[in-house]
Amino acid sequence: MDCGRRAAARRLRQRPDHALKLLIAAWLAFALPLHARAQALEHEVKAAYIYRFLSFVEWPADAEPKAKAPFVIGVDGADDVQSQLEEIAKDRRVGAHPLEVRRLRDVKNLRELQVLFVGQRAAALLPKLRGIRGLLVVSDADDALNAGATIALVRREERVRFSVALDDAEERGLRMSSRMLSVAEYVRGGKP
Amino acid sequence: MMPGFLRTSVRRKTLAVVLGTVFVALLVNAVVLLVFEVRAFREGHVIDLRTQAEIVGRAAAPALAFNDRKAADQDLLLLAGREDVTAAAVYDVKGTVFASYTQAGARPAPPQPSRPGYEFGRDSLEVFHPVMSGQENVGTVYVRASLGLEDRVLRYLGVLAATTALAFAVAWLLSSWLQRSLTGPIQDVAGAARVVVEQRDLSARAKKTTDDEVGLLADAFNRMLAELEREIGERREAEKELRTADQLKDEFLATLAHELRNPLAPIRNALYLLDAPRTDEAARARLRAMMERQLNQLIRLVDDLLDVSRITTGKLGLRRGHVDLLSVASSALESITPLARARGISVRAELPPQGCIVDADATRLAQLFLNLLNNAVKFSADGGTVEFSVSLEGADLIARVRDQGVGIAKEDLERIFQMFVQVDRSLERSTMGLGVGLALARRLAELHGGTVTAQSDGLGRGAEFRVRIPNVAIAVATDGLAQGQSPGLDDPGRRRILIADDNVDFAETLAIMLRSLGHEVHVVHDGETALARAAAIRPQVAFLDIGMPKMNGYEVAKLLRAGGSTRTAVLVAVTGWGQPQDRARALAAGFNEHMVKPVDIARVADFLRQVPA
Repeated sequence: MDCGRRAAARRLRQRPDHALKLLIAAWLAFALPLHARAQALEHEVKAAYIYRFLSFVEWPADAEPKAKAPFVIGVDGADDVQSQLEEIAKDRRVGAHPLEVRRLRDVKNLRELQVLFVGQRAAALLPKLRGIRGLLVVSDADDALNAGATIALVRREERVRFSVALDDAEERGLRMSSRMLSVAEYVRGGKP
Repeated sequence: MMPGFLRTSVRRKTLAVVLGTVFVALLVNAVVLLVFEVRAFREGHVIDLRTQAEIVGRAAAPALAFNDRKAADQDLLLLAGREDVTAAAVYDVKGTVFASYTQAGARPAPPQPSRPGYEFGRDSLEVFHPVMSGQENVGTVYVRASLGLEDRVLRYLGVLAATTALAFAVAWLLSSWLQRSLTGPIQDVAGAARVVVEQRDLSARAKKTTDDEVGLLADAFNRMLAELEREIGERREAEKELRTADQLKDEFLATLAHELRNPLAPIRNALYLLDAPRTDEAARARLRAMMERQLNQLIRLVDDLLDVSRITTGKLGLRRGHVDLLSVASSALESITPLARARGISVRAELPPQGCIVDADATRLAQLFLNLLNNAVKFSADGGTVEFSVSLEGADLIARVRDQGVGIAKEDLERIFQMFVQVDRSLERSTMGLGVGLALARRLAELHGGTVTAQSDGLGRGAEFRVRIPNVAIAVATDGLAQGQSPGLDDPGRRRILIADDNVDFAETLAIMLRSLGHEVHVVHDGETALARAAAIRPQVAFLDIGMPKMNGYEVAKLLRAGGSTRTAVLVAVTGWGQPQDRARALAAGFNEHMVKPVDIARVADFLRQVPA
């Protein structure tokens, strides 16, 4: 290994233009796919977090899906996360209901959803979703909590963390498990 | 060990048994308790640690779900409060350590989780428990706790040892107390047994203190002892009696020899004198009389001996018949007269009238009277008086013989009736007799169902013997009736008699005796002649010897019975053979009577008196 390095260094000294070309090539070869992989990993983690929230959130009785109807997670503006979620949802159930992931096509269909994930690209939708009873809104958009999301997914030091707006959840009739809150990065509102 | 154990006392054995049983029971109890305790302890710990892992898992589920290591560390610190938890860890779903906790000095948690479950290590318990978030497995919790099992077992053993010791002590006290009531009575019995064996004291008795089996044992033991004591006492008594009897027999034999020999010298002297030419007729007569007396004495002795032997062998039987009391009493009186006369003793008799018939054996009854008379004469002073009375009182026969002789001490009144017993040793041997007379008399009375008792006012004041035989009278006759019943012949007692015997001396002496009684007597010396003479003279009575030349007595008897004129004659077998089968054979041949030589003339006279005319 040492021998190889010394050999490469010799070559670099011998041909500086070559070295630059090589560097650029290396960055192209490694850095770009690395970024892409990190991106993919992030989508995977976010999808997993969305699924895991389901076991820490309690929906009001009137907002639960009808018998035999599926438990629906809607996704808007986040195709990568959606595809990951669809992977997770395969053969999974929430309570007695089969888990289903849908792309949000029409805001009118919001009543059929129990969860809606709003991606960065659809951030404009967030304010319109305020106060809808029984709908858990999760978003990774910037400043999502203030924009009207119940749970915001944020990146901190290469890790995905989440914040919770309890006041928003209260408005929607959702109850958040204290166990979940204990690992949240930031919790807004709620009783002190 | 067992033989040693078998030798120890019951007290030690029961103690050993009780304590051994208690010890084994306690030991089994302790082992079982210990096993259960260990199992329960381990099961309890499994449940406890699983619950703990479940709690930690639930707490750590959000931290795992949302990748929050700090929160997981916090969750694990929950376990730090428990001293027994030495290590704990949370693994993520990929199996890498997510958070861990290790007690100071303890081995850290393993780097990789195992499958869910529990495993016992050396004094430790490890639990791997899955962490669920909803239906999703988000990781694994690991908890390891030290059990302190050794400590616990040691403490438990200590408690068991203490309780065992306590129970042992209580059992020892209790069994010691119980033993007093259990082995105490046994030792009482054993003590009594030891006294019996070591001191040969059969009067020892076991103390019965309880009503259980031991009490039963004591009772049985005492009863056996009493039985043994009684039997040994009886045996000693019997031995004493045997010794006395043996001594009596020795004395009897000495006396017997003397008695048998006594009459022989005078008889020989008399024979010598009879042959001497200078002896005159008067002297000869005196000599004959003397010889007759001595001979009678000898015969009586031998008869007595025979009777004694019959009594001792139980063969003395009666031939009962209708007997005239007067003839029996007269016969006894006649027999005693020579002896009484020789000593100048007068016998005053008071006899019943003829015709008093009793059911008795004439010969034996006469013998009974004669024995009493003989006894009275013997113990009377020369020239004294003996009173003899025979009578019927209702159906009972009463006889009294009274003398004024030496008398009998009160304490000897019963003893004199024992065989061979001679009370008065002051008498000369020659007059002593054999000591069988009174015993025979009593026995004969008893055979008739009666009694003989003696009465005396004391030594020197005479004695009275009283015979009482109840319920024997058949006819009580007045004088007139008795006369009326006697046969109306010129001389009712006279009989025509044939004697056949090849022993000429015996035949002649018997003939002389019978003639002296007034009978007509013919003598022959063989069977054939006897037959011929019988046919010629037609005797009323024939005395036939059995062992005769030419024709024996049985054949003669058969032919006489077959012949017309001799068929009704009374036939008497006279023989030396006295066994019962000889008698039976004689009777079968046609004889009426069977007499054994030497023949007592009194008996013959008696017999002839009963022969019908």
